[in-house]
Amino acid sequence: MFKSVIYYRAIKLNEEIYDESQYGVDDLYRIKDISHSLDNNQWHSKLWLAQELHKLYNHPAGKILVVGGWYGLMAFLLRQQWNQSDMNIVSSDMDPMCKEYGYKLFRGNDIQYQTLEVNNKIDLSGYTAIVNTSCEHMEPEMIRYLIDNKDKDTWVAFQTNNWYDIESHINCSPSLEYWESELELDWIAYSDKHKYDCYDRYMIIGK
Amino acid sequence: MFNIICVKFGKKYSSDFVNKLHMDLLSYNPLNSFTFHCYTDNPEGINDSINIVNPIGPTLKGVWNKLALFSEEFPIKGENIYLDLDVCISNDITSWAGYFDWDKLSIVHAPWKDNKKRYGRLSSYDVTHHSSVMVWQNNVHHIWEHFNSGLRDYYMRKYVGIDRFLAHEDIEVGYLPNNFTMSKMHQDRKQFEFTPAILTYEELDVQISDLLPCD
Repeated sequence: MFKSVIYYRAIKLNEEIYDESQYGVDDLYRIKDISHSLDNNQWHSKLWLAQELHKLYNHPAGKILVVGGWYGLMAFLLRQQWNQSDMNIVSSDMDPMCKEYGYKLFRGNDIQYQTLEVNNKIDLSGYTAIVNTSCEHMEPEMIRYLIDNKDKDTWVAFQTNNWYDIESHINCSPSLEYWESELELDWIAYSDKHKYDCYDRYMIIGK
Repeated sequence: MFNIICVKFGKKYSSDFVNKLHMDLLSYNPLNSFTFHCYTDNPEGINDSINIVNPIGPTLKGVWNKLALFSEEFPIKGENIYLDLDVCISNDITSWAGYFDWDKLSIVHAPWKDNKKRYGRLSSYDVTHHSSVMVWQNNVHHIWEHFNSGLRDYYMRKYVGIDRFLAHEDIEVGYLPNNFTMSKMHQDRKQFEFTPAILTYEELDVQISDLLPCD
């Protein structure tokens, strides 16, 4: 049911972007980007993370930071698991337009949006979980920074893939086992992969 | 002293392309009035006489690394000529220096890419830029800063390559002199009064044996 609401909002948002292209900023690629952010693989892989993290986290309150959160689907699906206001959910992305469009797509779901690039200046204190489904887009040093600078008891729930052909995928992993050893978490609570048409997606949850 | 710079990232081109390009440049300019640099993530097999420039970050793939040449942090400064690894040299390119506008980025004008123009406006498929050869000295840092912003990842999804990035992001560029370069695929040698200095290739899978100079 909620899926059709989001799709309807996406259609209306794409109309807005088209209208804007006629009289203001011409950026029709956003239409494709927003559609892509809501395709079946995105729903499936992010729902997978939300459900598994919810089981392991096993607590109603806290503060989750989603980095590389794109237009906010990850944050939205986390909110479906934690529908109490005791869980604070922040969706961040380096692209400043994600905040504007994310709010329009997922409004009414108590999600905070931030424009944030993952670098070595991010203050991670106070977060009880850090979610990153875009590890393949980020420098390995920045993934390391997230792990080394979080509070010891803060959960991490990360996904990456082995889809090397994409230009913006600068940090894929060849296998789940390789990625496990690269992350060097103190404790891995969950580790698995899903096969998609063009690639495998890996997920690791731990501390 | 000019800087001539090439970029080799990933596995598309071997070090043989770098060494060949350097040797071809030397063969037309034996007095060596230039320094040859290769910006690369893998210097293995590149001749010792070529200056290696290591990646300055952030990590980028393929052609997007060409934009890093415009970063303030890129260590090579001065009068710069960039060449793709799949071009072929047919003359002393430094002798054209007096015809370049060094104060902005100049690239190849590729009118043949305009043949898909529809509806009287620029579409994502028809840009007339070709960045196989680029010339600049100053005033280019803004290009890198425009790209290396919060929209960096978005640009790499949106644009197939940097020609379209430059065109559709309204980056001001100039064009190199018409006779300086010739497209092997789209232009005819008979159109040119003199032998063009550089032959550019647009094929996707150019072999080193394909790179033959003009007559």
